[in-house]
Order: sequence, then structure tokens, then C-alpha cells
Amino acid sequence: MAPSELPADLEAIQRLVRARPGPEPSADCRARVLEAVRAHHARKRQARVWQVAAAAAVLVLWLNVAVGTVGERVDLPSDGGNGQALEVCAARIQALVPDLPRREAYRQALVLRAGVAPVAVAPRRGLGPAGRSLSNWKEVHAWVSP
Amino acid sequence: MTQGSPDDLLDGLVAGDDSAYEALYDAYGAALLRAATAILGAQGDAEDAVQDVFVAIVRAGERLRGVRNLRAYLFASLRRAALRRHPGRGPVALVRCDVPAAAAPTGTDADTSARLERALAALPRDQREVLALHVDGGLTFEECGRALAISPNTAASRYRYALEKLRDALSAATRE
Repeated sequence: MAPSELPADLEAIQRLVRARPGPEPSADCRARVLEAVRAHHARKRQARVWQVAAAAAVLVLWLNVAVGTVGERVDLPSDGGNGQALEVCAARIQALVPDLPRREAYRQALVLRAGVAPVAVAPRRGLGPAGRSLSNWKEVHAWVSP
Repeated sequence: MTQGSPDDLLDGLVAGDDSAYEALYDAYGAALLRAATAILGAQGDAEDAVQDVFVAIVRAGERLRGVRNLRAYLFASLRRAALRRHPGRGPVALVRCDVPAAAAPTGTDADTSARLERALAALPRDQREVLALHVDGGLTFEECGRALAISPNTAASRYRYALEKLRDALSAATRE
């Protein structure tokens, strides 16, 4: 609706509304608004810094876990659902330690397959109960001890 | 930083340039305050609503790049801010802090002006909003319609009803 479409009396009212005195902003209005803007900018920048820091922390944590997992992994022949894997594992242990009795190699292979760190060929920390009991055996000490 | 065109101003606002916000306030602050006072009645609330508009611009950040009409965007944002501060639909209590001495009319004009302010405050909110956006914000009825989520024709009708009510209120006051 263009102003020209208004009847004369409404146009007069429109002029009156346009010409009414505007409110005088309080003395600190401009400063208050601009201060609020600056405060929000600062908060936004701070939030961005925290976001970057959080992302970096997650990345470092992930790297830490990934490196730790790789370092502790024991390469075992896959089971495949048959007894051949145990055979292969025992053979590899015997190849590494030729003077290890065959029975002990099998025992070590079983321990390894149970997900426990090797008893005699690996550091003792991190041994599970089965590994610890194995390491206490005389027979093991016989070939581990120099 | 000099803010030549609205596009330069928008770039400065998106970049978080303080001088762009100062330029924005200097260009639109008075009109925003005038419209907010017309919608809300109380000048303190109006100043808070204007502040909300500026904070909303900071929050909008990169989304501001999609703004085609800065003036329409500002007044639509003001209307939302006013709605949050005063969700009621009826008339508002008229609380004006100051009327500038230089601009304040005297004598009969002062009476007319006071009556007009009272009549404005007594309008239903939807009519007051259209009046504020069209007269104080300089928005077209199409822009008013977009800001208020109504058709341009409805915006124009509300504007006309508002003017008629103001005329009737002023006539009644004159007869008294």
C-alpha cells in the first residue's frame, strides 16, 4: 500500500507518526551495547580456544591409546577354529628357543593363546594368573635362568 | 576501518571488527531504539532489545554473509528480540525515560504528541509492530510481512487499521 493510496486523514496521521519525537537513548546506551558486543566476541574466541584444546586432547589421547595397543600386541597365528594354530604357535616358540622342551613350548603356546603375555620370553610385568603360575614352575626356571 | 556500503559493513561484522559494530550502531541505533520503544513501550526494555539485536549479530557470525538486506534483517531481529522481552499481544505501558528537549514539541503540539504516544501504546501489538517496522524501520510491506511471517497484504491492512485507530483516538481526545 503506497502512501498515495491512503485517504488524506490517514496520511495526516502517518505524517504525525513519522514526525513524533524519538526517544533519547540513555547516556550509556551506545557504550553498553558495544560493550556487550565486545564481551560476546571475547566469549566466542574463548570458546573457540577451548574447542581446539579439547580436539587436541582427544587426538593426543587417541594416539596414546593407539600406540599403547600396538606396543602390547602379541602376534599369534590365528586360531581358525582348529587345533593347528596351537601347533604352529608351539613350533614358532620352539624355533625361537630351540632348547625349550616341546611340552613347555605347547604350554607357552596355550598361555599365549589365552591372551596372556609370554611367560618366559617376555618381561614378567603384565603376566596374568596363568602366566605367573607357569613362571613359578621349576621346569620354566630351568631354561629361563642363565 | 571505514564502512562504505552495507556489504563492507557486513564483512566487518562477520570479521568481528569493533569499528563495524560502532558504525552499525551509529547508522541504525536510533531507528532501532525508536521502533523498539514503539513496540515495547518502556524505553529500558527497548534499549535491552537493541542490545539483544547486536548480540544476535555477533552470534550469527558467518551466517550474516547470507543477508541481502541488512536493514530488513536488523528490524526483523529487533521484532524477535522484542517478542522475547514482552511476549504479550496487548497494549503496553508507556514508560519513556527522556524526550530530547530540542525535539520535544511545546504547547498544543506537546499535547498532540502525548496523545499520540498514548494512542500508539494502546494499539494491539500486531498493529504496533507493523507501524514500527514500516514507519521507524523504513521497511516495505513485503519486508514487514517477511519479518512478521504474514502476507504483505495483511501487513498493509494492519498498518491501515493502526492509522485508523490512531485517528479515532486523536479525534476523541480533541473532542474531549
